[in-house]
Amino acid sequence: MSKHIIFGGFILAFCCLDVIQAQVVEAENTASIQVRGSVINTVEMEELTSELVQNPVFIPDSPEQQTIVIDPVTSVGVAGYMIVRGSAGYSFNFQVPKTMRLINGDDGSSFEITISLSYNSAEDQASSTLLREQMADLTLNDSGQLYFWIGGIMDLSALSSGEYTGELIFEISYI
Amino acid sequence: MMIMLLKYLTNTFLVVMTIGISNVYCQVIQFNLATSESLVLEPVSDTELDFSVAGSGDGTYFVSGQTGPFIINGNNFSEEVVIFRVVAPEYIDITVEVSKLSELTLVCEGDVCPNPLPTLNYQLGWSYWNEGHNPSEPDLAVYDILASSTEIVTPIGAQLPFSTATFPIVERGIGSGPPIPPTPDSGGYSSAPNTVAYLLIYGAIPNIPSDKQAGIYEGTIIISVSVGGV
Repeated sequence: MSKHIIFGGFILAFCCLDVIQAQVVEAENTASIQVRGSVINTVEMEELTSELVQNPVFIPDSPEQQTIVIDPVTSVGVAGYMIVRGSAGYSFNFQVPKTMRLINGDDGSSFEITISLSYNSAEDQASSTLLREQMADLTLNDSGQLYFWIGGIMDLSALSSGEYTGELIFEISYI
Repeated sequence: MMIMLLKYLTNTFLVVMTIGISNVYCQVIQFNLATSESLVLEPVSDTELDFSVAGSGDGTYFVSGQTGPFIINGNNFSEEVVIFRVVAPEYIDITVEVSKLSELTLVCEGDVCPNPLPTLNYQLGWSYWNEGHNPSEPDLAVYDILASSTEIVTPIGAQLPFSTATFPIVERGIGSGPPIPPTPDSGGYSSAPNTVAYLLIYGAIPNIPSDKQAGIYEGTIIISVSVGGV
């Protein structure tokens, strides 16, 4: 009698194992869909303008100083300051040359200044972001303004005396 | 001595049996698939649902201030309906959940972006087709799928962030319950042939507010398919 019980137990145990081996594989599957829509705005946009509030001021600290560096983020008071205005919240493309050339009005000699800029949606130079590229897509703040600070590096070592003038041209356009 | 040994063996088998039964019980409750079976979800169409085709701007954009609804479904811009096929054994029920992972949100192209990013509301809509189709044959024509599908959520109604439905992968007659579970696979013989059901995903944008910022808005819909009521 005991042998029958043991034999029956074997059969049941193997049946169970057989079922367990046929267990779950992929019982769930997931996929995703990208949804999109494009909107254009017919509201008349304000003209994109810029106002140079202050020129950068390159003044050597001493007669021996060979290079003047104006950091647009940290050089308070000497960095140039400019405001771009337009329609609030709109993006625009901003392009600035890497260098600008200054020409001596007396003898025609010239030299280059390496330009660097920073920008901020708040009127706060210390927290402004350095613009590392010559071209960038930026967005005007809720008041339709974006603030820029202008700095650069000027090498004084080979300059002759005289008055130098030059032109720095920014390009701004709505995207 | 002999009697004691037999008793010991009997007790051992009783323990094994208890473990085995416990596992079998769990499997029955979860309605899962056997090793030789699988649940496949794959796209039949492009997986991008572009609402812009319903806009007035030459079929490529909306103009802010446009009044909707701008509908994509079986009757409107049906070529944009996203279609998936589900391949699974024909005896099972499947549960499908379609949900918005995110609203349509402005893709900011500038370094300085509005915070928070503006969004555009849209409504989900979806339906299924479960009249049975051999997976080894080419997919049905989109028109045939659209013409006889069962709609779960209409895109013109209350906005739902998600929607779930459970239905047989092949429709059954009215009043008939689920079929008897198939004989387990044995020796390379499978008793549960696969079939194909289709899921159709679409939706609508109710309106384009006049102050909505111009740009491209993108979002994601997640489709999840599982066996039975799991």
